[in-house]
Amino acid sequence: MQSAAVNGIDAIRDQILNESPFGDVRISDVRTRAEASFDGDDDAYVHLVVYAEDPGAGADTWPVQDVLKLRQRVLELAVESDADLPRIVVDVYPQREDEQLTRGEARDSAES
Amino acid sequence: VSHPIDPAKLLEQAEALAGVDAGPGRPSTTDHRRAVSAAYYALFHAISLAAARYILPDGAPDEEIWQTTRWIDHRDVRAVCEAVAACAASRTATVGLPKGLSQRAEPLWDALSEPGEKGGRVAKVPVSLWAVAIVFVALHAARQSADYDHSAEFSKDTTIGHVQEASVAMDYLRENAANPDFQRFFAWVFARASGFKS
Repeated sequence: MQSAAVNGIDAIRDQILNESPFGDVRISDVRTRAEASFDGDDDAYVHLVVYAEDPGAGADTWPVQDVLKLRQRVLELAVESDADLPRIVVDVYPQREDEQLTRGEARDSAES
Repeated sequence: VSHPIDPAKLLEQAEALAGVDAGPGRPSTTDHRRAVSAAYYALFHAISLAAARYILPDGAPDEEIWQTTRWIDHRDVRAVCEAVAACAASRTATVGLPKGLSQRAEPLWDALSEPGEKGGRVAKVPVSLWAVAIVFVALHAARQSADYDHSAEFSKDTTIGHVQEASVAMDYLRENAANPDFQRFFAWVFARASGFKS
């Protein structure tokens, strides 16, 4: 990832943390993930990985409108940024991801 | 054809695989991957069908609509959605094109913006169209990870989130079929598609 892009991402990350919460979505951490390409093309993406404090609250629902506002805000900040940012994909994860995945993976193994 | 691709049925499948109301810890993470993929395809086909219905005459046979959707490639929809999202995010007056838009997308920016009070142009994109665009881009990325990335992680909450975002985007498509900006979006999808070039 180019340094200009990293600077832009850092600014977006700081701003998102400052503006949290977005409705019911309270941001606990923002990280970046290596860019990916799709379908074998050369398009570079930066994944902005946003960790939210249990956005679904275990209720089998997701605060869709609040997450959409978060996604929109990240894009606004990307456009406002002076950095030469490549395209951004926002991934939203609940903070308890690791715990849930561990349970699921354990059950997958037991079923196989 | 007796069993065409039905976006609503794909979404139902995604909801079932995601495990809505299935209880804690269920279903398996393999099902979560398939749920994300099904949610993506539900939205992709919903956009393709809406676009085909828009450009074809009223009363066009279903077979013609289905064949016409085959011209639309995933990258076509993604490219238009990225352009729409870039336009929508330009909330402050912009001179020239918003960041991330190529010169060829200038007509798109002209249609989705208006003159600013102090010069330049400012986005005027319906929030519902913006939502469709950003949900598609996010789901496209998630679907790639779900289907190909062994290290990708999809918890139940995250999976349900993707499915519910797809559902909202499909609602917006359905509710706004007659909205001029959505109709422009459908037209751009076909302008980007390469079907006529072959």
